[in-house]
Amino acid sequence: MKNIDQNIEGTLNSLDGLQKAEAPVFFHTRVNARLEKKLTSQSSQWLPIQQPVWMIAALILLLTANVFLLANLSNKNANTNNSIAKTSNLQGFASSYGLTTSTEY
Amino acid sequence: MVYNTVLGIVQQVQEAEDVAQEVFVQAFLNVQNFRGDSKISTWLYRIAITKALDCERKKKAKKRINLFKNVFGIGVDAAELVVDFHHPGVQLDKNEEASTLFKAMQQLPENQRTAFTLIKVEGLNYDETSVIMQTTVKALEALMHRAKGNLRKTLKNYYSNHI
Repeated sequence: MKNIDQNIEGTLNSLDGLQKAEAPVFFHTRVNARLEKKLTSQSSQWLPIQQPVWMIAALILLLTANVFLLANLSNKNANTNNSIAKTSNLQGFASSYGLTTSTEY
Repeated sequence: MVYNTVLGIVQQVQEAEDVAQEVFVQAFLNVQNFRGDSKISTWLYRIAITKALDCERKKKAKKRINLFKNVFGIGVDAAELVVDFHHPGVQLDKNEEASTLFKAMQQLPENQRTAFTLIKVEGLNYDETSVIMQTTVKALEALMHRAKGNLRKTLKNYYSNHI
């Protein structure tokens, strides 16, 4: 047990006197290259459509347009159904009171 | 400074270089967002910690996928296998112990790991670390106390199985 405790304390203190790790050689050059690459790709991207925020906005716009069109379509259908129902009601009323006209050919 | 901190967190030389490069690129591109309330080094440390922890999260997610792959016998890339980390600044006679400590640090929660890395690996004092972590010195002391407690538990487990 004493041995384990000693090991634990030794391990916890193993970073005492640690020297800072230096960045690898050519680090600065690589950062520059990466930066240039990023700047070039940003300037060549004149349409912002590839950014997620624009993609989501376009999607929402498309969905809204779809919902609007569907709602309009269902309203039109409802109106047509109403007029058909009205006509059939009138015909029923006329036939029950013998008001229909028979057509002779 | 940035490289050493990142290396302390990600514990892989190649990845640390990649993350450190990304830190400088982001700092350059967002320098207009630096308000000047704190030192520029503090701002750089914050970017470095965020990026390094992001990298660690991605690595953990990858490990989970690999575990899943292993279960179904799909196989794992050799490059993704866990390798012992040896920090280049550790004294030679403490190399093995330091490697064990770095492994144990991976089990710490993110804020404890950050505090421990900044103080023990980067060698910052409590005042500097509390400014970077946007907390008080007292809270940081408590965090370090908990970190050491957790490390002791992990190491106790490790040494009881390895001795």
